[in-house]
Amino acid sequence: MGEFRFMQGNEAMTEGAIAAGARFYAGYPITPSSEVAETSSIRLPQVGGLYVQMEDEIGSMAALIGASAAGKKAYTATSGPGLSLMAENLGVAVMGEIPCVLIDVQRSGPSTGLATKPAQGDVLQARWGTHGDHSIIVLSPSSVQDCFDLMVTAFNYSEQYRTPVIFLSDEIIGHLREQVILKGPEELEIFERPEPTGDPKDYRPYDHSNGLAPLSRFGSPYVFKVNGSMHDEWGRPCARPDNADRIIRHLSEKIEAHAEEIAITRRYHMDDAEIVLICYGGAARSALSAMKKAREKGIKAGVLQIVTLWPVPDKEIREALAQAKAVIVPELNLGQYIGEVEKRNEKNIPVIGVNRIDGQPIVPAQILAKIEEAAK
Amino acid sequence: MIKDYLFEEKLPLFWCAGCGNGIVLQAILRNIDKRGFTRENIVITTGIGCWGKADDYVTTNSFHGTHGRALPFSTGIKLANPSLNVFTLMGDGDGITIGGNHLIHAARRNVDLVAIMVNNLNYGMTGGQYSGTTPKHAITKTSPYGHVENGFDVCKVVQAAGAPFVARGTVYDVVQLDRLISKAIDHKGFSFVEVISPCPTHFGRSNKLGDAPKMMQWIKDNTISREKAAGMTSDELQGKFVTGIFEEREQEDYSTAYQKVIDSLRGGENE
Amino acid sequence: MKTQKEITISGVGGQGMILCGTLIAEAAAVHEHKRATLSSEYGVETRGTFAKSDVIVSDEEIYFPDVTEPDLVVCLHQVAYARYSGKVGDALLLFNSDEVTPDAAAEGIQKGLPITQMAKELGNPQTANILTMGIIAGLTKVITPDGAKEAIRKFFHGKSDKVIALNEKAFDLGYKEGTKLQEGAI
Repeated sequence: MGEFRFMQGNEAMTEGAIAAGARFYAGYPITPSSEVAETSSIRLPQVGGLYVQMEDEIGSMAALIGASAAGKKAYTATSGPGLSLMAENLGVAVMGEIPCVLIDVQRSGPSTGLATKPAQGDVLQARWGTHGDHSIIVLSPSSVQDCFDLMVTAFNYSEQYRTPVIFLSDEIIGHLREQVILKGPEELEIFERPEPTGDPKDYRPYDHSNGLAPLSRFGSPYVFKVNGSMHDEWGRPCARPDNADRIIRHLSEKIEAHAEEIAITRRYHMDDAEIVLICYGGAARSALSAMKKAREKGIKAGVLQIVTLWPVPDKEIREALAQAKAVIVPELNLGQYIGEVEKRNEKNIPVIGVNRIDGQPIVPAQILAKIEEAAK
Repeated sequence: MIKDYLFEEKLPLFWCAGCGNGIVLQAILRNIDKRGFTRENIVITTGIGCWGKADDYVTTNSFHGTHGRALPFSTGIKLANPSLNVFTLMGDGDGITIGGNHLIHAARRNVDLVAIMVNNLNYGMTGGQYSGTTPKHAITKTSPYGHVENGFDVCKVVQAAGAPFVARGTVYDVVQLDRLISKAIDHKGFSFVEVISPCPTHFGRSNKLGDAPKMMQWIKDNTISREKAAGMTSDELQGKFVTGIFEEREQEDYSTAYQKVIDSLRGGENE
Repeated sequence: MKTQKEITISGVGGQGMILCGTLIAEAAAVHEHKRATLSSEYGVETRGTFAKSDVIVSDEEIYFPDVTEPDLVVCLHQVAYARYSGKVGDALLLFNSDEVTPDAAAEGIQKGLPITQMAKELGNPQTANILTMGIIAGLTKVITPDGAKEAIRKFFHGKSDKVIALNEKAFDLGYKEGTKLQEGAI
């Protein structure tokens, strides 16, 4: 049985991480994510885990990856400016295929921007923030319950696919307080890192010819090398063109080929929906409110909420486009995810953005006005 | 056998003739071997640069991350599993230039690891540009008219930042280097050793210091023990490499201190 | 028919609006088994600039967590009053008359209570936020005194009995004043 609590999104993320088995946090406090750091510093030592505050976000990301390579499930929390600093070492986690979870509680940017105000301006940075071709998993919560439940999913995906996962929250959800059920271990499915098997002499952490190779941990009999430079199956440097081709394709395909399994979406009143709102994160709350108001007015509005932003839930978006007369995409940015919808708009129906970048949430009336216009 | 820690098929080392990196790597592996550490319980972390390639040659666990970030990677590794023996290898670019902030905080935080910074006074791998240790007036690829900045005295920086063990040696005096690394390994806490090493290909050539043997001679001629240096003025010490142990004191390391916090909260309760 | 109550508690940073709002929402969710949310807005400064808490209590799931159709707007500071006065429709605007000079010409229903003075008379000006919580509970009845006190006791857990008793007293006083206002005003 779970525990019924009333708490903040940021706090629920900490509880979710601990429930997922995370025992290591390295970070640098930044508004509006600092409560994740504060609650982690209280909670982790209580469960035998460790909180360390690093000198900056570059060091935080490095420590996180180091801890994971040594066998601990590890996470950090930041906001836009910190995400920019973490981008470099995020690439080490991608290249080294080291699981970890990076929480970004988005605030208004660019630069220092509006530190306390919500935004969803990091959607494309989460996808492409670190240089070079790669794929990545990005999850977007829209409630305090999500902050707990999806955090467990984030760790599971991270271990299952040997990849960093970005938990892309925003100030609205991070600071929102509402009820949450903190599920107990018996209600949660936790993916634990598989141990390598066979002769340690033959252990090749980057040989994915028979499915994803299990990742060892420093200190185990399976000695291994992590290398941010291009490497072979053993983790030793290797600059051969065919090897580079293999590795880069693998880093992308190990995620893209499983996009359907990774995809999480939610459908609200979609069965007969003619006007579909495609939304995520804090803006999904505005969209759901607008949908409810539209239904009260007799308009057949529905919501397709995207929880897995990356890889893109291709099938679900295509289905929504196939059934809708018009699609509305509310975002707290100038239109970062709408491009993914437009890309799939084969019937060429109206795809309308509702965008707000003044540090204020999108009010349902703004979306409702677009729904009414589109329904005419 | 020191060979157990070396990938023989990777030899010969890719470093230039006359480079000191091989000497330092050997000194580290000799000490590791002497203590009977195993490939399994060692992690060698490196940065980026010539010295950052050292992990290519070792058979132990290794982590080759990003330029300047070897220390925070090591911090995560050691704190996650305090039973590991963590060695962090950095050049002067890694250690005190791009990674200077990590260095001073690692010294302050006092995580129990050995950090060995090879200082060849310039960026070797990228072709000999100036670093944070390049001396004033030195010629490099990016100070063609003579360097206008001063270089760091890295040991002083690390000492001031609170590291409990700080020492400097050179690749000329291998006996001393062995002893310094040995003491660093035995010292619980953040143990820092700076090793002065020649880069005949770039720093040596740009500053007309001659070939590899001449550069070794140049290091020898400019090395002064800490004891001797004590009586000299700063003018007299200009351009000299002062060697020896600058700091050696007991101080509770991070993992021990944090474990006390955990124990106080959990009161003997098992997870 | 509106099934949810929307309350804005506004002032400047440091006046305890978030605590006040959190305890109301928590009491509603945990003790009254209703749906409740608390969202807040604040500036980069911890003290002195406009800040507010939005509390929504409903029998149904709450989607958008910011107040758009307020039932009650509380202004604890002139800065907040200036923002809301005349702009809250049919909602009651309640202000702290010790901090706010009301605009007699403003439209809408406005009532003042000397919250700072009342808290001082209780013996501690810091009880103003719990007193405000009581006033809001009395005015709106979104939470019961029993539920409110459970939330208060939980928050002050570990503090002395004296502190807890004082805050309960602050709530009771606020609740009484709020109920009186409600009977006369709404």
